[in-house]
Amino acid sequence: MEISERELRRMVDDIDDQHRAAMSTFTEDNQGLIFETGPSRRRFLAGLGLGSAALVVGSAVLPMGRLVPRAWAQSAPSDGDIATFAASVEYAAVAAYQAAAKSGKVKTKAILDAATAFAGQHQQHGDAFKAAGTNPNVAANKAVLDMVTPQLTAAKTENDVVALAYGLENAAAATYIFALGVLNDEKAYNAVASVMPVEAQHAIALGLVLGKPLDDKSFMPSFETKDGALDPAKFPVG
Amino acid sequence: MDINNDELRRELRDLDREHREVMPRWRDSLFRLFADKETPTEAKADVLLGGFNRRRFMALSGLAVAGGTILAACGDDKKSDSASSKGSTAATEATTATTAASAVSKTDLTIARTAASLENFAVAVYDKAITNAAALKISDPVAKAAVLFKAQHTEHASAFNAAATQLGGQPYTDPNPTAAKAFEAQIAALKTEQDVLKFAFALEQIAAQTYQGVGMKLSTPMLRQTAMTVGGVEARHMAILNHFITPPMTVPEKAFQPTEKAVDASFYV
Repeated sequence: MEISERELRRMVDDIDDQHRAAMSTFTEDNQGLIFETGPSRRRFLAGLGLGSAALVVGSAVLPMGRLVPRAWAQSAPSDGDIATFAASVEYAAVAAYQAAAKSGKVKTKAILDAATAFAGQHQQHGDAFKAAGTNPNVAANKAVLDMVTPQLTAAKTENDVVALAYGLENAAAATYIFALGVLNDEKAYNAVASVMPVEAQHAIALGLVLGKPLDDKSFMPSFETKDGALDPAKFPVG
Repeated sequence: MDINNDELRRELRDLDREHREVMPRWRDSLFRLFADKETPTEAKADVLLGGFNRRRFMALSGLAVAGGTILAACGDDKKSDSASSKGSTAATEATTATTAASAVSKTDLTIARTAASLENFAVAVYDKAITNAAALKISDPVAKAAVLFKAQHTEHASAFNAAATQLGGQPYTDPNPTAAKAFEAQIAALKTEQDVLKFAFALEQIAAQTYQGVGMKLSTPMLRQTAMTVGGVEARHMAILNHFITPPMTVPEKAFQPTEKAVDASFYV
């Protein structure tokens, strides 16, 4: 379908307005992101700089507390600890996708196929993070599963299930963006940096199923953010 | 609750005493940072320039159990006599550390400017597609995506140029010259919407893998994070563009994004 010049000009004007509105706060919004001298690992751990105080997955809004695990309160997490946390989140994602497929609520074959593919990729992510981590016996993050499972049970439609997965993928991407700001080890960096874009693409695939518009910032942001990152204090590794 | 003058004076004396106790050890640690020959200069630069988080600072001052590379390499905290006698050697070592720090900053600056130039190139490509939308028979949804992506790449360029300025360099405002030359023929050959989509996809893929690939060349985790806040979006662009490509490819194709398509040093500006 062709687009008229007038319509194209209108779209350009609309986008330009949005761009100018965003740019007016760009410097302020990104000052900390670009010029921040480096978040401490304790800040990663305590959830500071993680944006809003609530994690939104699907349609549920969950308050994030400040319950710092006693062991981690004594010393900042190492790159290995962060990798272990990442592994637990990935394994939780695997379990969530498997549960979603078994729930009978997802009936579209293409979506089921995507869920299977994404679960397989999350399994590989988890295995890679486990290999880089400090706990060879790390399992699916129970706190993440405790958050996701009731929402899956309560889901009424296929889109409800897809929305849940969409939220989880964006949360994973945000978590890895935050982790990248503290990791020093090359192996840990390579693992996280190669996984984060994949979670972002998972989110896009699921967002397309949901019919997300391009101007939805959770779907097509100008910059990946830390908003909604999973807090290790709230979702501790078992 | 008000605090009386005696209590305030007591607290100030306590603070002053702590400060005086800490400062010689801090000064000694900093001196040995420059004088130490075994600790890699990159590690020293990292401590000085970035990743200078609270835990590392405490380790450097000897106020916590040693865990960091710097303190372990420095040895006993109490041996200050040998350090004080190395006057000219310390000055030489300080110069070496400064040179190393300068080299690290130069790499960061080169990468920031190169990234800005790649973003400028992307802006130019999308602009060309938008300008020639009618001739290329670009559909409404694709045009909308192109307009948005052009705007976002403009923001990315601004962000990288802001980093370049912060690093003491000049912003780069032109499209990457190596990319412009390398892709000139391909751009001239674009005739259909599908041609444009596939070319744009390839471009976004190069960008996404480049920002991941340069990560460990950057000197601080914060710079790596900044690069990947953009790299993640380029990956999202890929997925959106793929949605319009026929037949669509599998995105993400693999569990881990590779870096085989990242630009090499010939693209550096």
